Amino acid sequence: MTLAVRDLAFAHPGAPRLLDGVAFEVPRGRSAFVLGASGAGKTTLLRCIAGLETGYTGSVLWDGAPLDAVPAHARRIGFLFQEPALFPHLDVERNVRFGMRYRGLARRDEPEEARRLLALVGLEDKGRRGVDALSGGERQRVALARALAAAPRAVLLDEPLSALDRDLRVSLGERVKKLLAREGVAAIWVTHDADEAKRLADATWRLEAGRLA
Amino acid sequence: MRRRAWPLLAAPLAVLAAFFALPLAAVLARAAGDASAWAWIATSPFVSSRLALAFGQALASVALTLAVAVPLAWLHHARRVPFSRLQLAVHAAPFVLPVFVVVFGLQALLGDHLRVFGPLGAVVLAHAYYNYGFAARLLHAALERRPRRLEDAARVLGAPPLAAGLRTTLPLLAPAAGAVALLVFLFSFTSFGVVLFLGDGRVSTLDTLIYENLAGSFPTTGRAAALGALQLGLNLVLLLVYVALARRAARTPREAPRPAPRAGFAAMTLSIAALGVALAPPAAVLVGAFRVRGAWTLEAWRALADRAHPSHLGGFDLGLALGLSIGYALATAFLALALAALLAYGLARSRGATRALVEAAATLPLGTSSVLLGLGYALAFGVGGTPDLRGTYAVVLLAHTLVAFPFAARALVPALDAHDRRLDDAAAVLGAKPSEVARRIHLPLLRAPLAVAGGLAAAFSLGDFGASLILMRPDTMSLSVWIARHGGLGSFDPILRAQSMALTAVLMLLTIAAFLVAERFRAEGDA
Repeated sequence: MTLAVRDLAFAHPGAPRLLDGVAFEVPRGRSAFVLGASGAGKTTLLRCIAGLETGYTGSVLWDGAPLDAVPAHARRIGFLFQEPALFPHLDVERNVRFGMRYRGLARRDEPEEARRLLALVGLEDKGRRGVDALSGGERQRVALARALAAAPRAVLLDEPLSALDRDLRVSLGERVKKLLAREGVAAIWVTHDADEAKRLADATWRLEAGRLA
Repeated sequence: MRRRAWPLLAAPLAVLAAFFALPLAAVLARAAGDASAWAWIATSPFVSSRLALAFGQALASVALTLAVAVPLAWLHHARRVPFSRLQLAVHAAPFVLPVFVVVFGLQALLGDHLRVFGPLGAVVLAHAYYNYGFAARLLHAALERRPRRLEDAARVLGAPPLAAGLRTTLPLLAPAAGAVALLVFLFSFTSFGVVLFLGDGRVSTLDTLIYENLAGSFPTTGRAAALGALQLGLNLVLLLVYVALARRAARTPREAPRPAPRAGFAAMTLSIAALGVALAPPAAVLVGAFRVRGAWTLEAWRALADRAHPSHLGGFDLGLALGLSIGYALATAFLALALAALLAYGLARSRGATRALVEAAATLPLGTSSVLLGLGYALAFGVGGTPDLRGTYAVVLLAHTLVAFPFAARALVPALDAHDRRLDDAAAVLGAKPSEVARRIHLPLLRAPLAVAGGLAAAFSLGDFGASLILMRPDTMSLSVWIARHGGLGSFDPILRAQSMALTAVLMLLTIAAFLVAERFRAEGDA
């Protein structure tokens, strides 16, 4: 079971190509890192893989089957954004439960599954909290639990720890990596922090001038 | 993820083309084909004197409105008054209440003293009461965002506090204040109900002149159309200036509000006194509905409900009129919200010139009065019109919707623009289809502007009698048109006057109910 990208290219309308001939593979349970400077196209690469950008050429494949015609909501690829993008009108538990119905989980089983996932990220006692009452690290852990709740086959992580202080970034990064490996999820992290990549990556590529090196 | 905008924009643009552009084109065509009407406008001393008076009246209304609104806005900005938001909402309420509340309320409160002001003074006073609250609310919002860091910078450069404010905040807030003043001018210059009922035939606006040319025993449609074309041109110029000022105001640097000191005794007394003044006219209407010849009685209500009562309005059916008012209001709110939502989603997917053009087209109805729209509908969908919608519920509903639509759009479009798209992306990658994103993310997060837009649309429909007066037939007449056509305004029959008060009280309570329902909807979204 592998997430693969083949010859992916993308340009915003009227702008030069941001991505050109990008190709790589990430097996389940492994974490691959894409390094690159600001504006190199790292976030755009993840948005193409998730199906949030649709104008790309090339292919995104899961286990050899192309996902390009599959809309974002049906790709089963999770996304951890730089800002956690928690839904402000829902409490922590209901944020985590948001995507469960789309993976076919019965409504009555949602609370228990949410509690399990919140325990996984160490927030089992925060389910009834409003998301505004959480710290930066807690918000990202809720976002991770929410992403895992939708039972994704892969998770894309767009510098999710960049806003945290260094100590928290190191400890949380290792915890997230272990969790993703344990859940058997293919993970693609993008970052501009080479130390972070060295510490956590099973494979590392550098994105320069739209191409992977 | 950018998707095509046109499938979403098609419906609102088609409705605007068919039920806004087409009727106005009919007015312009009729005006262009009647040279004598233009000659009448150009040479008649009656028209020129009335228009000059309308201009002066609007200027005086702006002056009096701002004279009340500026100190009120400053009071709520400079001091921490308890329930400030609620208080400002109460002050702004007259703007959305039916015009009869203002007219009857002032008449009941001031009685013969209102005559002291003369018709012009009464109109200016009513306009000031109608507009001061919403003007204060807008000015307060601008003051709250004032860039105090710039004032601090001026202070450390040696400017005394007053000079720092005058040299930094004042010029920066001038476009916002100018936009508010221009809106008040526009509303006063195009006022219909207040001028019709308090102007005593001696004060006019273009709207009342249009109506008089349509409603007389010998309608002169050509003259009405020429006046309508003139009004359209003037309103468009005013609207363009407003848009320019609003854009400049939007570019003003903003800052988060800083806490103000708690209101002292004087500020509290002032704010409570101001609330008393704001609530007095509606209270006078409520009292007036239960008083005839100086005594408390239910006589007016009996006369309204009992067809055998000697003072019963001929042909009036309280249940039917009430049902029609509520039906029009609900349908208007639904249609205006649906069109505004489609427009907002379509604009969110548009950029550049396309977006600017569509936005401008959607704003145009703001510069068109209800009376002018009614005239357009009478010409386009009246005798020989395609389709012929004379006497139908649909024509009334469409007119109400077109009046309410730009306000609904102005509530929803900026809200959707400001919505954090990352939440939509987050929901999409969690498996939510676009329709689910709209239901589970947009609906709860945009409840407040949706509630405001729905409440406004319902209030406009309940209070409208510009287009309604022209388009409604006896069997499709809402409460507001019954009051306007058969009410006791100026009548010496005290029971007839009390009946008008009672119907006005019903309309007022319906409008308040619409906003309470909207508020409940908004609050549930916040929970």
